[in-house]
Amino acid sequence: MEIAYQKATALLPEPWRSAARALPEKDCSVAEEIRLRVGQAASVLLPRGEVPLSGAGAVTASALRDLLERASGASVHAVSQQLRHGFVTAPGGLRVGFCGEAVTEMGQLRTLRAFSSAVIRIPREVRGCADALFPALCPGGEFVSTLLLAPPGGGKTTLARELIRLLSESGTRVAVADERGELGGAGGFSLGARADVLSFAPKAEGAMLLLRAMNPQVLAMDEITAAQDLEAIALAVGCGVRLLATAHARDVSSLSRRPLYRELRALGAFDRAVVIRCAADGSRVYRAEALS
Amino acid sequence: MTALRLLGAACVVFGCAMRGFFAARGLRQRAEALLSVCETLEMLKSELSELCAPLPEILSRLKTEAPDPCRNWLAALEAQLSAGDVRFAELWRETLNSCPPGGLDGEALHQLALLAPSLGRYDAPEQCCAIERCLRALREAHSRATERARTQGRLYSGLGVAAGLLLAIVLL
Repeated sequence: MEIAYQKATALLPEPWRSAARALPEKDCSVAEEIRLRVGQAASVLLPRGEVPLSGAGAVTASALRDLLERASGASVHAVSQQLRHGFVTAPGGLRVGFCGEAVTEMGQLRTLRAFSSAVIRIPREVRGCADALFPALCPGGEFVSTLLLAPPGGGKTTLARELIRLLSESGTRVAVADERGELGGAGGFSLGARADVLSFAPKAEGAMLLLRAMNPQVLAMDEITAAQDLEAIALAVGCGVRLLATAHARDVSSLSRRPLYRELRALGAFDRAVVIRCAADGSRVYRAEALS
Repeated sequence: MTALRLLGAACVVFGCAMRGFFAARGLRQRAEALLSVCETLEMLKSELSELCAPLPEILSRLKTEAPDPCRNWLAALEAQLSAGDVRFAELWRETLNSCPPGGLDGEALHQLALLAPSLGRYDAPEQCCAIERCLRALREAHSRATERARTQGRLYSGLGVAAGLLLAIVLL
């Protein structure tokens, strides 16, 4: 069984683990997510759609609590900050998202309880996926600041990981603000010999720390989503550090529809965008274009 | 014959004295075991409150750095946690049964078992509160055990020698 799928299913309690591992090998190798919803059969998201798992019965609330215990290493205290954002990153870079009832304190989300559903995203290291694209991002032999665009689940993190590795192996010092622990997989993925990874720090703060402490040539971060992220980007631009980042967007034109991304474009921080499209067979197609 | 009798008497005295000595030592060991567990829980509390480290990481460190009587228990707990199939609360109780810290009595083990539902399930401050409650109970038990070792330890040693002498005299 493929290693990524094996690690993902290891988080599941029985009998759902056995049911998930009973899937045909060809499906295991392309599975993108495992979804669990209380009262319904567990399912696996394949390129062709969600496929329910047979033989395990409906998911229970207790199963989701067991999933949290496994994903957190029996250490909810160590992941409470992540849980506030609705997810936990399990060892190996597996992101487990949770839905349930929010517990708030003074208007702020404190944690989640009474879980009703969960999703285990299966990250994969796809060596070589960026080999053809990389030269287009290095005109004149030097990497230019690049923004990777795709909808959620589109493969941005997988591509970012590969680009970081290629940069690092080409001799470039890359600092990675890995807020969710998915890029480096908390040590589970190889990012090359010249990558410095700061895991689980809030992105803006982490980026500033890396800029000040690690003297990077390229600063990499996942998912620009908040105004504070723009501050870190502006600081990086001011320091002459190149950027590699991802954003939720279908294409370059849709960047203009959200105020945050309008501001990002106005900063002029990125020279290239890479739009990621998902083919019917689950493979990804990359198109690089210049950002004026 | 007299020499043999004297030798036998000496053996009787020695044996009874040793019995008293071991009883006294048992009291001291119990007090030391309670102190070891208290120190281990304090280390656990520090790891949780200062570093918010995950339990597997904490156990990996504690199994080599905690006081000796607790190391086997912590190593067993870490090994079973990494095997992955049982809830941590159950593992905590099971290892207290199967591989408890050396020298603890039933009451101390019961206090430790009470921690099981809290560890790993709540935020660090809540877990530290639960550990502190357990520590208070164990520290009280340690105080009582230390006092007992001090007062009764001497008594047992003395009684052992006296009993040995009396028996030797009777037999002679």
